[in-house]
Amino acid sequence: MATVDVDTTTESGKAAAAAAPSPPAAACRRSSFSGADLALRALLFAVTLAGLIVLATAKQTVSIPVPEIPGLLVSRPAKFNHSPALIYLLVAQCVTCFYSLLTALTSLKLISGSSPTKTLFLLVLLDVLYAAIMASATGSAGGVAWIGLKGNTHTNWTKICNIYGNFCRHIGSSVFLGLVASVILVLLTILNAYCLYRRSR
Amino acid sequence: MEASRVKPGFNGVGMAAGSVNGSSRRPGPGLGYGYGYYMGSGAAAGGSGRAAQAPVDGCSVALRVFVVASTLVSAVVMGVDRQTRTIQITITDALPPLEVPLTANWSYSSAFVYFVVANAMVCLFSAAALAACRSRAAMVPVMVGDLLALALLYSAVGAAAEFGILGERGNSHVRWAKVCNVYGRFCDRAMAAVIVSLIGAFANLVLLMLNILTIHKSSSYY
Repeated sequence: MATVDVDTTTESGKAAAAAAPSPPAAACRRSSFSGADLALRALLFAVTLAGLIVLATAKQTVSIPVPEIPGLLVSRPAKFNHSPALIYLLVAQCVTCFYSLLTALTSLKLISGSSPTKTLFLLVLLDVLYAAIMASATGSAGGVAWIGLKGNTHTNWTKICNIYGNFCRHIGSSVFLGLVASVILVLLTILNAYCLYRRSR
Repeated sequence: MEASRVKPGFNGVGMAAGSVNGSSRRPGPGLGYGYGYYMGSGAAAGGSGRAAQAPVDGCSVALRVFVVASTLVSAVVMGVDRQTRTIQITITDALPPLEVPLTANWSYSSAFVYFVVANAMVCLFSAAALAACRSRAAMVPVMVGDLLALALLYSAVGAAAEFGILGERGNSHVRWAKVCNVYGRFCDRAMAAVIVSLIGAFANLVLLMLNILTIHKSSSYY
């Protein structure tokens, strides 16, 4: 867990640091929000990319002794594509990663001085949509991760995280990064919608 | 913020702090301009009559009512979901079969508990927002709350649907057996609740987008 988290935080920190100098004083010319918008989008890109990589590399093979025959070990792999919820999370993070890249370019264009006649509106709409997608993906993957962590005695679903420790750490980190990504998307929506609202009436 | 595109008295810096309170005191003309075009005639009349009250958009009120109803229905359907089956187990042929009662309850699954709680919260919030739909001061808090409710509702639907899929199909890789062949009625009800809640979540999404459209149309960017 520690190594993964350190990796991701440094990566996102680097991306945020890289994004911070790019909106210079010109960013505040139109609105002081544009710089924050770009920084959040860069952060979103870093977080989703990190979550994507962490989830895609979640693979662990363990040897489990067969209770009937002592001495015999069966190797059983665990991969993220064994669960539809995790595949959904992977796809959602992939799509959001591309989206954040594209909208960061749009945001850069806004900063460079073009008039945001309809762009801001479309950005808010798409942000809401992607926030919904990321929230549902995080919810479903978090649900399956929770069952893996705790098990469910009522349905006889045993927990697997005591066996696949490394795999579970990857999944947990990825779900956490997905949660961070949805929070960032909600913040982006609030930021841009407020920008739009300030212009209203 | 270019001052030329903003109406007098609404330059961005001044408005940043007090826009919520300021907007409620804003008198008629700007309001009529902002909302008269794209809302119903009744809404425009309401808007010009009372300055402190927002014009009521029939479509968004209908959507809001739908969100309240669907989240309430899905919370209740999931909340009363419970099934007890008696299963006969034969140990040996000599003895009569043993009858074992098995119960499925919604509170056995943390995903379903989350689903019920999230739906109830969204229902309460939407009802409060419905009550406050005429107040202009509540516009921004309601939108932010709508956004949070949307995220909450979607994650709850995702978690519950994922649990339902596990129950329906199981997962052979980790040896989680499917349970819906035993608790058929329980699973059907849970699925119905998830679908109703999903439709409510879509309605919430459309509602939020309509609100954003309203703001966009009344902005100087339009």
